[in-house]
Amino acid sequence: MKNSIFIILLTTISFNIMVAQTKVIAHKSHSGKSNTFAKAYKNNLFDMRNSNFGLPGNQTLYVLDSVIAINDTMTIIKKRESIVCHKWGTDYKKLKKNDFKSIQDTLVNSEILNAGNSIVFIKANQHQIYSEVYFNNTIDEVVFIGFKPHYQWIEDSRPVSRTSIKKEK
Amino acid sequence: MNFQLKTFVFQWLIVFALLGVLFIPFSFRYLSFQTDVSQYLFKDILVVLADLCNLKIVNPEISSDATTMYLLFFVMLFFALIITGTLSFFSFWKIHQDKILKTIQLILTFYLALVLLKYGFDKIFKAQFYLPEPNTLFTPLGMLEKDILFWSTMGTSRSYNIFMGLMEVVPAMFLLYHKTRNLGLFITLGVLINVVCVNFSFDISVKLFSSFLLLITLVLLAPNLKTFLRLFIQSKVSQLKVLSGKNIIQKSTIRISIKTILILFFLIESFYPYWQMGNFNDDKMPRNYLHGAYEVTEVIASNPQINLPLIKRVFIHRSNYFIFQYEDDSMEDYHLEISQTHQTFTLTNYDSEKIVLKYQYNSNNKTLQLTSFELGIEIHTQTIDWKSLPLLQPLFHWTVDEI
Repeated sequence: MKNSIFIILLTTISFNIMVAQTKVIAHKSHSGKSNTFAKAYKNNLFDMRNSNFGLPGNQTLYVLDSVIAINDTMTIIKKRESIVCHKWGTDYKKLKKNDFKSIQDTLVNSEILNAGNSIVFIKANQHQIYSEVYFNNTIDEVVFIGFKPHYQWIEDSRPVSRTSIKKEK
Repeated sequence: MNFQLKTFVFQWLIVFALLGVLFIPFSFRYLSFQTDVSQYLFKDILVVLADLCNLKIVNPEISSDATTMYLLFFVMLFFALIITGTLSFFSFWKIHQDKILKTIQLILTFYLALVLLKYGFDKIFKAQFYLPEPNTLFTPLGMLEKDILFWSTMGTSRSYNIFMGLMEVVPAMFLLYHKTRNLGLFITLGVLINVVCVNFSFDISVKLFSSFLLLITLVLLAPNLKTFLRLFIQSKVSQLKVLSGKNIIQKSTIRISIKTILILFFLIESFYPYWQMGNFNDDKMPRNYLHGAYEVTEVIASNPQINLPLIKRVFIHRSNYFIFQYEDDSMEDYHLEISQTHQTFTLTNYDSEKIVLKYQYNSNNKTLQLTSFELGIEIHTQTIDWKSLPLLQPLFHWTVDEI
């Protein structure tokens, strides 16, 4: 029990770690190569947004609370945006309610967040969502309303393509 | 160069620097709206401009040394030229020109101080040049590129980081007070020349912004350039022009109040994050779960026909990356998500493909076992005490006899 608490504590503290670097150095620090940098930079993958100007990055924190599918083409997203920027790695859970402002957006013909996709498919393709909706919380904390029910998790855990989901029907 | 042209160029650069202060989307904590404003105003213009110039834009966001940043500088230079050219037609400008220019110069001075304070405290608290990651430490020197090598080398010396940080914090403090302002500018000039040279020589992608800061320093030093030259070349002493708020705001209470608010804001922006987090040395911050280096002791295949990967080491990076090091020392990195509930590592590559590994960590003998049911392999590893590597030892010798 003590060990578990320690691990949780360590993990929580580690979220507060901040390092300063440029985007390229950040990528090279985890042995990333030039060809993968281009992909990561183009799509703002993983922690790409956190490094700039050789400084510890400050970022506006976004919490995606819910995604509501109205119909096949229209989706409403409800999220919160931090009023000021925070050091990267700041745990949004440590901020107070009034540190955020609420935002509601409507997505039309979203590639991923549309009623035609199941929650399993959306979660498996979460990195593609970031190009449409950026958020700092985990996708498991997002409430999906109006989407197809869960499909059985596919063992190989690779992202499931839209066509393969349709075949499952 | 005749006097009028000199004045025009000086004013053009001053206006350009002011536009830079307003619109370069720097990583400010409490001025984040600046990034939003810049992106809103310039993003589309820059994309169109890049299209016209046949320039490749991989990511339209304006960030350090991105193509968009270079284009933003050209746009600002152009706008500054138009503004400077137009101003001479206004009578208001003709009357108040001196006061307006002095106000802009003061804004530039305080901006320079703020940026120096931010970089300075980041160095002092070891957040800029951080301790090299285990995967970097186990990469053969010749396989590292200049920028990461420079960053990692700087990251191994706390004392040099404190020195470098103070070399930025001290002139920043000098810039805030009119009597020490010229001394502050002079030290800043030396510091920034070094920074620009490092960025260009080691291919660090803050070339444009560091050059911009150097330009601001030169613009602020320009009114005293002749005096400095007379002092250093002809050894003739004459009085330096002092940039002071007294010439702009006569009422001392208002002036002191504004200055106090600004200095408090600067401290909140540059120092407060560290105080808030209680972290004054990034080297000593706890790392993420299972962070470190692991020597591969055995790789077992469930099927003898499987070609076993020649993995030498694996690493867990503090920013949640998982790295394989192969026998030829080449590396392969994946973004890592750890589920402690399910004891799994989910590795994601840059094409969003995932590999799930079941892990077992034995804290007694410090072994980490990784199993991929999908690939049919089992990897046994042993923790490496990477912190005992010679590079990370606090060695210091007064004499060579001690070695």
